[in-house]
Amino acid sequence: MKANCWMGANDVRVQEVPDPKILNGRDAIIKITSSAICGSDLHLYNGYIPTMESGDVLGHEFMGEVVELGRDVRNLKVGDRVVVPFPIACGACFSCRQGLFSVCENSNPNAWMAEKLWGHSIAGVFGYSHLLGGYAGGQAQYARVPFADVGALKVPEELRDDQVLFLSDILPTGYMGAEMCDIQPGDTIAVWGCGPVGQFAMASAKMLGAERVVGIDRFPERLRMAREKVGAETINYEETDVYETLQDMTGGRGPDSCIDAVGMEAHAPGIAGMYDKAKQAMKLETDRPIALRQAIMACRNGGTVSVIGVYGGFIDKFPMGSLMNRSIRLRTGQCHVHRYMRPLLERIQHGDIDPSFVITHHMTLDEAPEGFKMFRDKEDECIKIVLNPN
Amino acid sequence: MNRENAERVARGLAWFSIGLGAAEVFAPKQMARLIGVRDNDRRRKILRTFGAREVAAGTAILAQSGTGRMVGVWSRVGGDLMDISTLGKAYSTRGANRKRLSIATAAVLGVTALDVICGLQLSASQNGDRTMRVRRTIIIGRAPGEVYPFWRDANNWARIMDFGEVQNLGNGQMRWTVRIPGLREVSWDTRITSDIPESMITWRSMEDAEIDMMTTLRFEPAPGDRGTMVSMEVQFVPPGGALGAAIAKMLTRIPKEATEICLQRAKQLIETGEIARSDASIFMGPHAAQPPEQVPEPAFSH
Repeated sequence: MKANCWMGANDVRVQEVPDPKILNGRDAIIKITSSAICGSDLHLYNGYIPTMESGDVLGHEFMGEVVELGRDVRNLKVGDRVVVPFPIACGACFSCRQGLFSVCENSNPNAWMAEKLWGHSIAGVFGYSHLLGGYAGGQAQYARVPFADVGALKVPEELRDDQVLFLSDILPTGYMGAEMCDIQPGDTIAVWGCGPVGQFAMASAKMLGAERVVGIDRFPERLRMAREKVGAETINYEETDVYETLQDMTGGRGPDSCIDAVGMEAHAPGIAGMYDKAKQAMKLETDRPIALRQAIMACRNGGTVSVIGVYGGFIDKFPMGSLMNRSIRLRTGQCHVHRYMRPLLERIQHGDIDPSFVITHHMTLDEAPEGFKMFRDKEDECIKIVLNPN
Repeated sequence: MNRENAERVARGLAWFSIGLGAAEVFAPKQMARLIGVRDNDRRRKILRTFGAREVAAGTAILAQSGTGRMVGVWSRVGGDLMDISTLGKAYSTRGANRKRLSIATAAVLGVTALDVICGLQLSASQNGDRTMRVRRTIIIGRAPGEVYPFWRDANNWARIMDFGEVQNLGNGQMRWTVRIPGLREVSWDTRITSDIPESMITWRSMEDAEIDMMTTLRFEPAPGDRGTMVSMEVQFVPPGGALGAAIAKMLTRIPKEATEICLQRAKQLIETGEIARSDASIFMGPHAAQPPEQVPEPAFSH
């Protein structure tokens, strides 16, 4: 089959690789119909995630048709159309039984690697480094899905791929970002990053009853999408000072909750941005926490900072004093996708949200390398690319 | 000098290193005069470099124990030899004070002797106890009554072992076989030496075995009915000679991860019915995260 492989920093290539095989009883093999490129794939592309190997198949947002099942999968049939969550979860361990599927204790065969970096491991993840398991990803014609009986969700025929594909990652991720804010009537929620996850965080904040939602970015097309599709107010951080503007908008109190949908490769104009770029380049910090610092400083006393942007390792100049003295609650996590798939599918069916609004490009699998470049450089107002491999 | 004395002498030498090093770094002019050479820019630079070396060696000895400390002391011996050679060259330079140079050289020779004795003693005590111990603990979400029988069944060991093979010989006896890279296969048999149902099992090598291995598993109910805390302690005494050294080298690298992987696989099997396997993890060495051409036999989990 054909698959999009990571060959090194800034180098992905579509190659011929062996077809996936059933390795365990609870596996399924999926023929992929749609597979997206995620903003977090850019961290791999830019070379910021350790333990990648040349030839790794990328992709963790995918869906398709079941073509083969392991002997222990009883709740799926060959021919079922399913969406696959990006974390791999066993459904049986201490974490899974609490609904914390992205920190499953049993799905990462390389847990010891992650323990070296983070103290404890998390779940295995498709196409996302060897420290998260070394699982081949879904930017391919076929993929093996372990624990398919727990993960893969059957989706109704009447919904198009574009409407349900994002149940695999970015819609639940954005939703969880908003849910962690524990939104109360009248709340103002500020969201750093108006990429697809940021858009869904803003849309979810609205669904959960926020009165005002403010999106922060520098790309006009993303800010426009936030205004037009989500009904958010927007701040372009290259034009105005984010802190000052948020102060003005909230009577000097600050947003009730702040969502960091940016993560480790944040940008900022001026000295602050240069400082972190230099430290990251010199390996003195692994991540550039510019959005996170701003989110903490801007948040109101007693508010919540919700972090859904991906961080890899260590950050510098973390404003712990602001966080501690002002009673701010910090909530984080890779999304526990399994927990949100069904309720969000119902929201889509009810017409509360149509996630396809973030898609700007469809491509074939062969065009994936161009897609990565285009997405990284934000060419052609690129916001979300969906690959159709078959 | 016994081991305890050697440790004390090592710490003394470390502080001496730091003191001397600081003097060389901060007062190179005075130091030059003290050892009997004429002060100039180049000599100050040399003294500062040597001083930095002394401080580094001293810090290394103080900050570490065991092998690290031993290496630190031997690095001092290397430094001493550099000092002696530099002092020797200084005799023939212009304006050298030979009397002072002789005193300085004698002092360095004395310290060198002390360094060597201390280093030898630390090395000897390193080799004295070759036992390697690893201990890891995991919570498995089932009661001890379910977890204990899993481990009591030698066939399960064959499924979870990562860096070799385990064969069930019946009666709780197992044959362990490990390939030592570049050498040969080593094999040894173990038997159960103590067995307290739902609480503890110990396996130990037979008396005539080439490798003395003792593995102890302890089972304890986890608080809050969260299952069983399983701790696994593995002790090895490798044989002497080249084979022993190779095994020791391999074992210092492997057992922490291997022990942990054993425990994790047991947990996976008990909790989920299968061992988590990825396209890369079924291979022993590095493999890209892409589907295998052929599933390797034996795949690294069964």
